[in-house]
Amino acid sequence: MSTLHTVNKPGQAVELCVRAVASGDSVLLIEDAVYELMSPASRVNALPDGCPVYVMDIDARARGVAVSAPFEAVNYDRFVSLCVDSAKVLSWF
Amino acid sequence: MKFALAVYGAPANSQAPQSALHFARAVVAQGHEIVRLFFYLDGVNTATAIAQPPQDESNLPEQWQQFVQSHNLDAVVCIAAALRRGVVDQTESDRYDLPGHNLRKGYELSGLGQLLDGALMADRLITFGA
Repeated sequence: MSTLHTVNKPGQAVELCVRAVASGDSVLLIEDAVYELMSPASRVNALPDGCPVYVMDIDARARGVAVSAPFEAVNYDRFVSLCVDSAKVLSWF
Repeated sequence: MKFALAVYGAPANSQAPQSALHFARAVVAQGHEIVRLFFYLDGVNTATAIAQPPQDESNLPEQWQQFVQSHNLDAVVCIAAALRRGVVDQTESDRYDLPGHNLRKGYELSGLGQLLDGALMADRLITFGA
């Protein structure tokens, strides 16, 4: 049973999310959570290998945050598809 | 697939209503169904009719209402959260003898049970936190 974890702010919300991620889950950073990519000690580095981390494209662009591999920029259509493809969605905020 | 959306943040101090609207539009565009919208905590401010954002900013309460009405969605505003924030309909205004009412048409004041009901009805519940 895979879960999509959405996070909307950097810091503790990401940290709590990372602790809860299980094998097969994926993570989507939206809103201010995209700033996590600018942190040298980013908490997303602690995610298990192979856990996909998606980044909301318009939120990253609005904040001047560059998205590069292994992160994948997504739009809202893709957000919906990720929800459909996951068994459930957990929101961290 | 059936979606329920919960919005916890207000237009003036959170991106939640904006993100939720983007998401809701994408849900509908892909042919999925939105079975419940639930506005909770500061999110109830999305349903006020008397907020007037500056003209060069997007009017989220207006955009949300148009979306709700054009797709005939079941949009519930938490009554306890709304009453304490001054978002009331005619019935509550009369009940508490208030000087007016400001809940936009298309929304309904109801209890937190409607969030649980939405979660049970839907295949996915997506929460947009403040």
